[in-house]
Amino acid sequence: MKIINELASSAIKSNKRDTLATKLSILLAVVLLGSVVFIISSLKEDKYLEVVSVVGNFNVSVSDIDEQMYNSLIENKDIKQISFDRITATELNATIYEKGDYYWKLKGFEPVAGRKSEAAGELMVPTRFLVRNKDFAVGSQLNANNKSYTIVGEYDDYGYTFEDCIFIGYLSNTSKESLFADNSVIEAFIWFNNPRDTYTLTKQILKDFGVDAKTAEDTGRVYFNKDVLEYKMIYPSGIIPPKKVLIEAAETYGGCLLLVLLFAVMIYGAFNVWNSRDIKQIALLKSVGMTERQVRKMVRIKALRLSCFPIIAGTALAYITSNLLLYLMWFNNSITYRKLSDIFSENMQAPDFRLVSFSVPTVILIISMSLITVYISALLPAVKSAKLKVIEGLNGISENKIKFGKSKIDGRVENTLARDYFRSYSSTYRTIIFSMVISAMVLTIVLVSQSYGIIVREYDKFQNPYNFTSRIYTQSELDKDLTEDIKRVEGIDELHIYMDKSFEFNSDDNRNFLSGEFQDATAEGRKQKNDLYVIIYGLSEEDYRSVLRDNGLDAATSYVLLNKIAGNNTAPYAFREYIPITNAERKEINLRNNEAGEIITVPVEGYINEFPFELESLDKNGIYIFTQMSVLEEFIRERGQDEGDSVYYYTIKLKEKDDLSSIADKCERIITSYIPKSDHFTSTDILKAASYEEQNRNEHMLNAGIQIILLIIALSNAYNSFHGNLRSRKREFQVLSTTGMTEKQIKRMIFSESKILFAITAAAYLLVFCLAIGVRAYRSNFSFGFAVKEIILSLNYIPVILIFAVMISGVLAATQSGIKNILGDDINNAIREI
Amino acid sequence: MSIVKTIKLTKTYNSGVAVNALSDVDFELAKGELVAIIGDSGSGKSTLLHLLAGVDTPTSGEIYIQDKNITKLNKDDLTVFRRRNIGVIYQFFNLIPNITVHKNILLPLLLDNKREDKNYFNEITEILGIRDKLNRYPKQLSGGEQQRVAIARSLITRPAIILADEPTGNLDRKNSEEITALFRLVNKRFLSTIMIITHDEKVAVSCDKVFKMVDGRLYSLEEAGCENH
Repeated sequence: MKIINELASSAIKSNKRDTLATKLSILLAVVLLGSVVFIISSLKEDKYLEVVSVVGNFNVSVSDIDEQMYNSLIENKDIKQISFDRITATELNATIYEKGDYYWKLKGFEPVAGRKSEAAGELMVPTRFLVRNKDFAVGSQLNANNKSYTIVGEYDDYGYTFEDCIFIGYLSNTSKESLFADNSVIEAFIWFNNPRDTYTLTKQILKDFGVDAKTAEDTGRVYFNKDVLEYKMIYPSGIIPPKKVLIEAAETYGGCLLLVLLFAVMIYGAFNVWNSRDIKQIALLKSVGMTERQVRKMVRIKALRLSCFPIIAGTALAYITSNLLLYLMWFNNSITYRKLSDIFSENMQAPDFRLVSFSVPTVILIISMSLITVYISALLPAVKSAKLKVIEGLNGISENKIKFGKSKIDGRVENTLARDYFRSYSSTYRTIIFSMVISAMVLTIVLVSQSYGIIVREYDKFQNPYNFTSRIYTQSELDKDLTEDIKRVEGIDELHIYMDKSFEFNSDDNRNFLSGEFQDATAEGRKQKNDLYVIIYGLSEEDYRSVLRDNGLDAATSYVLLNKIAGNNTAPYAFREYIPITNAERKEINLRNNEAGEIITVPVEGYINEFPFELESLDKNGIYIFTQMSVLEEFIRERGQDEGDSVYYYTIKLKEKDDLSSIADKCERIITSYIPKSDHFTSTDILKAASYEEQNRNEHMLNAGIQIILLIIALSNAYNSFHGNLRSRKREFQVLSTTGMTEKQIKRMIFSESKILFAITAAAYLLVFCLAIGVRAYRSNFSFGFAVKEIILSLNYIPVILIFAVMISGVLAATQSGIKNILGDDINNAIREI
Repeated sequence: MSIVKTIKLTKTYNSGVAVNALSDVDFELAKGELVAIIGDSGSGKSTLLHLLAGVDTPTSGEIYIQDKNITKLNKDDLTVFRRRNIGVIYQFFNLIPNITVHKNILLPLLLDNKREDKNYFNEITEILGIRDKLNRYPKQLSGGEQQRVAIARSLITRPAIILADEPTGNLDRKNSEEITALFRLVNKRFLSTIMIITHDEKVAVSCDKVFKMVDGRLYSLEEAGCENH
């Protein structure tokens, strides 16, 4: 209906100043919402583009292709393109993948030395292969399966040096005869004419050859390129996504929906004030014959038209802010790693900064969510306007039952009147209070969360006394020269080098082993019998002897058990009470490498009560046995490694008070000279502190950004509401003036109303504050009282104080401006109006 | 034939203390009548007008307009009925400030998605002397001109009744006389049934009948005794 559109448009055009607060609220809401969506979408798109550029955009791959299947695929009219790989196993702990044409257009593995394979007989090999096999280098010949190849390039695949390698070659001849000439495995990469038919056609192709599609997918014979397919919304059931995708989408965009609701509430405040100024007009329209439905439609159209420019501008600004945010985080990271030595900084450095990708679907998503936000914010004002009684709107006389207070004359008249006015205009003040409390509440939740994080770090985590830890993964026993070189580093206060191996613990294999206390704890639900595991630690000879000596155990003791375990799985680390693992007379424990493995019996010849040298934390389900490193290495040699986990795990820990940076640097260089970077991971207190600082700075930055936006929205709402309220009471102030109330008294009265507003806001906020702390404390593993006390003590109050200081200033500014406006007008004009 | 009829119409306001604004008012208006209702402030005149206009609901009693019992209609039906059959003119704030005079006049038709009868429209605007002001906005008109536009709007749907609440209350003497004269002209020319609430004696005497509202009860000034209508 044209007239309704015209009435909505004209209301906006004629009240440009009054709409400013609403437009500002919408603009800021879109900036925040849009930034979040741009970043999420960019990450998703980056992931998709990464997959397409590295793996390719084929629809499905099928391996173990035989000649019959080959013929069928070539002749299949539904297939647009097909590319083959030939896979050949070698005796060098490596597999040769000769890749078809499509692969060489991809980013793939970039050579760190040499070049990519360009012809048959050329190979790219991983760096770790060359590290392990020093006879080979770029340019040398390699023989495998009676064929000779030339190594033309080297690439980094970030795997352990001892894992199997992949050599990448060029498949130049894709004829049937060439492909099936030997016993190699052939894999086909398929693009269908219509990708939407991928799942259906693949199942049909497999069915024609008697292959079960599900089994083929489970065993890896068929691989659907899901990252690409799901990005294009192609799912096994057609366009309907599976549950996993829906859950992921809900997790990703759920936060955005919460933001939509939050902003709808905040924008409602601003919009409601503006819409209230048109009450008389709405009443007149209703008296002329506008139905409730038409009124609701008009108000909603007003909101949506008003939001056009802010949404477009906000979307553009959101793109800028999302880039700015990511740039600041990247810059923040650069501050961190620049302070570190080069050997450590490589691990800390984030990838180069790239602009957030700009895509039309993302923009459409942001605009849609923004429109939904505005629509929701306009729902209640639309309903209220529609229900408005004509007489009430025209005359301002309400038929609603108003609860009148006692209206006492108590003290100064300014304060008495302030209380009366506050009560009369409680709905306006309620909106202001709500807006301010919501803004402060978001900040409070973040601060409470951060405060709780501090408590967890202090009381629910093992306080590692060592400031350098290096975890090493090898395929063989550790080179003893490495150990000696580390020991020779001067200035180390305390050094420990040890190995560990984990095993399954089955309570059925160990009947009567677990203590009575443990059984009771299980019965009460404090412990779970089936979650236990065992780690055997092999300490250095010196350390092990020290353990035996300190615990009064015989020097010939081979294995000792740390006979304690947490009595309650949910208790925080610092407040755990421990119970003995065993009271058994029989001192042996039965372990397995894996569930199906054979039983390995370990004799336990002594008990200790503390973890030696506080080397590691006590996991709630861990059983710890200690021996000498040489004994554990022998133990493994005799019994062999578990096929599923054939790695040797070593740890180097040290304490250094005065010059950690230099000592850590020296130790890391020594370790790197023996162990490739891919096979070890080092962490120091310096790195942890740097990482923590970076995380803190990022959190502060994000928090500040979000808070500024919420604050501006709340403040503009408060300013607008307060200002509008004072303006609508202009006549009343003039009447007060004619009865003899001075300007000073009127000002005092209005400031008294502000004081009441602040008092109620403070009370409402205090309630929210207590609720936030209470809920967090209740949900924690700590005792309620303790958690509440610690959260309160650890909380950073400065941001909250700042927020309220800014809000109070804003409201006072509105009060000043409103007073100036109403008292500045000529009294005669006002009287004439009456 | 009665265009408007009320039967024992009562309205009580209850905001803490019960106030009987109207008490058992029985009232009839025939087609083409021009009547005035006078009375002291707070006597219930505007309450009666609001009830007849359908913008307020009675506590008890019935209201018939063109034999339709409007007290039985739901909100939407009542609004549509008002749009098509009742014209209302107020003392203040009659026009939508953001649309032209032309659209203000056509507003009831536009809300109904109907087109105007151009000849009738021209006739109304000619008689009311606002033909040359159609493209102006309300704030560009004087008080008297605004009331003329309000009268034009109230006529555009050829309503059963036009209700005017103190239409000259905000005007100077000259404009008041002009507006009063226009009501008479419109009444004669279009046979419109018009009810005017007024304090102004001159407006009252220009009407065919005058009723007086006293403490919520309606009396005709024609009859010798103060018989309650």
